[in-house]
Amino acid sequence: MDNKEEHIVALKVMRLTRPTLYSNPVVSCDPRDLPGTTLSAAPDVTRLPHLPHLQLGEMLLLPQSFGSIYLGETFSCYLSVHNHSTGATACELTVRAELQTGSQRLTLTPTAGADRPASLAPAASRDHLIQHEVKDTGAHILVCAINYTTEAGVNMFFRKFFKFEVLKPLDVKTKLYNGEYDENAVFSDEVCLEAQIQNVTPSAICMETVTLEPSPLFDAVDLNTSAEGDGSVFGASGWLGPQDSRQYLFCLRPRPELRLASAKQLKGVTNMGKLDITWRTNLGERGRLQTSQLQRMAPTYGDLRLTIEDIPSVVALDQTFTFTCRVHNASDRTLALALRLETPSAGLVWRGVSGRPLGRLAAGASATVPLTLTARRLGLQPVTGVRLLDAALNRPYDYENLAQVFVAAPAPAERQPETAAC
Amino acid sequence: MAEQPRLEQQPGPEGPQQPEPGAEQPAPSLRSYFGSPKADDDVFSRLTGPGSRSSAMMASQVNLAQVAAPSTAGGVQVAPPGPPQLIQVPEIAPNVEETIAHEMQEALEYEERRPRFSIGPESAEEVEREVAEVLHQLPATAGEGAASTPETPEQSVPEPAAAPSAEQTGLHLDLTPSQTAVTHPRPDPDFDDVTQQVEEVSLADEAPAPVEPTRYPSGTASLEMDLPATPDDPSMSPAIVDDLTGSLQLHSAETDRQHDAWIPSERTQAVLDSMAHSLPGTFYPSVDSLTLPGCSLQTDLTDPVLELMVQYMTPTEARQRSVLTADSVTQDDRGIRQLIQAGCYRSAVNLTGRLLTNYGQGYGRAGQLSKHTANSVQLWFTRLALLVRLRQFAVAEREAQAWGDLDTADLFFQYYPDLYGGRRGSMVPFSFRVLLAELPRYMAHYQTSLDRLYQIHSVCQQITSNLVAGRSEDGSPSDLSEAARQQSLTLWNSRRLKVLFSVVNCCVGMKDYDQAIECLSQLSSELPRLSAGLRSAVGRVYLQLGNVAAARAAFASVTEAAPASESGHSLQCQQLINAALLAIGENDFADAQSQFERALELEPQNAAVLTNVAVCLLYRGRLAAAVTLLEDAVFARPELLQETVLLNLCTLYELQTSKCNRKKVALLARVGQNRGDGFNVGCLKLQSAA
Repeated sequence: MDNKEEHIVALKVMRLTRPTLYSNPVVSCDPRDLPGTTLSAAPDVTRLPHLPHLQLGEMLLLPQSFGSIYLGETFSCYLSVHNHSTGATACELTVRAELQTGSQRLTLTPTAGADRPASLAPAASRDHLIQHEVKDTGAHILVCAINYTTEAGVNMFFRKFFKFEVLKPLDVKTKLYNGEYDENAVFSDEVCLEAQIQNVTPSAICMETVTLEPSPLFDAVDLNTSAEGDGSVFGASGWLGPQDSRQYLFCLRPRPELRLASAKQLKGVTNMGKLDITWRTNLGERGRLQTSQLQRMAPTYGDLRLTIEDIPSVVALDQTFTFTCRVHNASDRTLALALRLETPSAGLVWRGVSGRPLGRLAAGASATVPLTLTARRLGLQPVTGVRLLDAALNRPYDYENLAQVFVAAPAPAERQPETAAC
Repeated sequence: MAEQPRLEQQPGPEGPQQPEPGAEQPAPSLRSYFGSPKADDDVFSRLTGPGSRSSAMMASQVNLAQVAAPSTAGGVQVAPPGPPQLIQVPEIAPNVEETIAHEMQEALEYEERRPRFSIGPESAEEVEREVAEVLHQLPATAGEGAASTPETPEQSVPEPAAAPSAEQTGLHLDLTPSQTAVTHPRPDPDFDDVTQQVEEVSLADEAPAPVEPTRYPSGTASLEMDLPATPDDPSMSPAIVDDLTGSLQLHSAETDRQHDAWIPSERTQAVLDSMAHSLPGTFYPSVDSLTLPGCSLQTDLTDPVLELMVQYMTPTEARQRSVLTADSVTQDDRGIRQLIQAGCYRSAVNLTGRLLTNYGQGYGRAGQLSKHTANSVQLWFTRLALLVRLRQFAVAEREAQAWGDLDTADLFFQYYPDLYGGRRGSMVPFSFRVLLAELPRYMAHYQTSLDRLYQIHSVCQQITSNLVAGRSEDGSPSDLSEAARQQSLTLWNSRRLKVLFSVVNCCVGMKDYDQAIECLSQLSSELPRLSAGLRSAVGRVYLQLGNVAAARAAFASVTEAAPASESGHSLQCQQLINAALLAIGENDFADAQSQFERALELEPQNAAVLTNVAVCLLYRGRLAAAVTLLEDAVFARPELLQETVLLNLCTLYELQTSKCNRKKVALLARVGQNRGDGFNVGCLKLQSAA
């Protein structure tokens, strides 16, 4: 549709990725050697005078190729409109840039050059910079349309198309773990998020931040920092090689004020929040991605929840210990409950009366129940065999593997003399 | 588990992103112009698909890169990976720095000194002539020298306590090889003649160090500095040659030993031992334990600048190019130096080919028996160094194949007792080892390079610890003077650090930034006076990775670096450059530009900073200003006609107008007047006919 030859203006487009630090290979040579100092004396602007053996210099090289563009990066472009005629002025020149993707068209507004004079004298140029944060993968077409009027008053128009592919930089896999996976919450309402982030670009990138924006009902705790050193468990440099991945871990806790007041409501919440990821590549070229809402499978609590308030994690052999459970009535009716202590595991023995009534528990109310066990075997022992009986319906609620307790040998202070005696 | 819905799975990132053919074409990849040492770099390696223009040179380089087989596997001994262990030699550090600083200085000052000094061994003919002259005129002097040897070490090294100062060492270095040439004549291809010569001078050979202490009571250093001429000057009188000979003999033997020292592998040592214990001429090692190199280029390299001029300019204009060629210089080492000095690297390669043909190591001779001399090995080093400079990596790798890891018996002086007397050590210059170790990385075989570099590093450490333990470099018992020992320690420590620099370069190339930063930190602690520059380099590594926060911290630590920071940039200028690079990391090119401009005020001659200002101008939408700045600089200062500068300028030209060939040809004309045939014309982005 456009015959290039008849136009007096031309459009040139260059993608502005960050420049690179470039330098020539180092060839060092002892003055004793045959070339003497002739080789090292050759002027080279990329070489640092005080560090002649170091290749990494300070000189910037303009981008020499379009390169790859990734989802979340900013696409920057230089549009240069040049009047290459010898005597004709192009009047009323307008430059429009539009980005077409599979699903939409976006008009890009130049950040520079918009307010330049409308006419272009011979050999003059007009410069435009456009920037756009890429939000789609797949084929993109940059359409640049040039309108101008010749001195003779003829309207001229041409378009140029630049096609490029936007690729996916990261592969993000998430797993959500409800604290109550088997209806017996040890950590009550907490939800853990495991996010596996893999660099699928062919070069190393620097992970700048990975944060979890929780939904309003939750607080997020970042578990990716270590107590000692400079913080991140992944090391300070942020380096993530091609095809390498990292596991990020977050813990979501219901806001304290919501915890008991709206247990029912919490139960139905499936939106957990969004992951916000920023990374950088060469000379700080930045990219940012946000995931959509992470959904969890809603936990099914049933009518009753038995949670552990307080239990020792280590007990000594033959020690009798007491722990506290909280029984919460999650149903909408009042329950009359009885507690039965069924056959315990081999390692722990219940102490106390089985079948004692706990009284009436109103809808939404909770009560604490102290229970006592004696440790009979060494090792990690499960607390099992708690059964709550709903007297009205005669329906049992069994709680197997309520918690785990580590039974240790009697305290070292007692054993040491024995060992010494032996 | 939930796969992220928003990030759709795409086919892998292999496909090059080409604008529609017919529409705007992208600039071809960097690799096309520089044969990219960053061969794995996605940005650069991507855009070589159909539709992008590519020069002929690029095509050939890329193809060679694909064809080239990993030639190195066989000979490489794997060094332990990971950062090398340090040997604590604290008292040496200052000297090492001095040596390095001195070498820098030397390179900078070379312009003034060049015409008067000879650096390497000269042609066999010249050496023979000089030997003959020495023999005829002064047989007695040599004898005297021999008689007075025991005291000479102390006398010959002025101020032994004040350190084997780098300056002094450097001066000696300049002169010693010529001196060596006199003592141990480099054989002509015609071996019989040479052998005769050697037999005649055997007296001088066995006398370790003839010195004339009375004539130079104040030490030799100052005297050498004033020397008007060197032995390679044909007009020099024999008497002067002799003076030089006498005063330098000791340094020659001593520095030779220090520089040539190397620890052979056990296998090679066994061969050398067998040699030493058998009668001359009765021991012949098997052929496969010898180094049998040959040139791989059948025809001479041609001048690409001239070819492009013929293509784009009128014949009259093209004829105006006059550069040195292999035919227009003397057919010897001096000719090679002249060619290198003039930037005629291709002609210099051609000349090395001719000279090696004289040694029986020319085209097609690979794998066939030939004899090495110190000079032939130097020729090979020069040739391969030039090929790397020319980015003819594939050719270099092919020719380097025969050298393996430079550990065969015939590369040791001991292998030729009749030629080199009692001289010990390797004929292979240390730089040759480093060069061959670095070669694989230019073909993107980074791990091979690292293995070889760490192997060299461990030998350096071994030599250093031998010296510390009071033995000689190769571990044999010795009675080295304290001064000589310190001098050697300084030398080997500086060599070890050079290898570390190469490791850094390799790690940056392979984008193992963590290891690069670790090595740079180690260098920074060992070279405190260069720490400002080295810490800035750490910052740049972080910036390349994209870790802006860590880069900022590294740049901030430059301020804490010793204020006694050496030469190079002033601390202030370094900080401005760092701040500018950081601003680019934050995408603030306006700030970057102003920082670079302030740095340029401090160092108006710094062309890298000037180029960076132009780059910033482009990112701020001021193309015309960027072009003017670079263009003015290049036309006003011919020394800036360098590939990297011109590549930036031509990139700007191409953005400015589609009719930019005229401007590029104007640059070509300037290049034709000012640059030798080693110039990489790819940077002009002119399509070549080939």
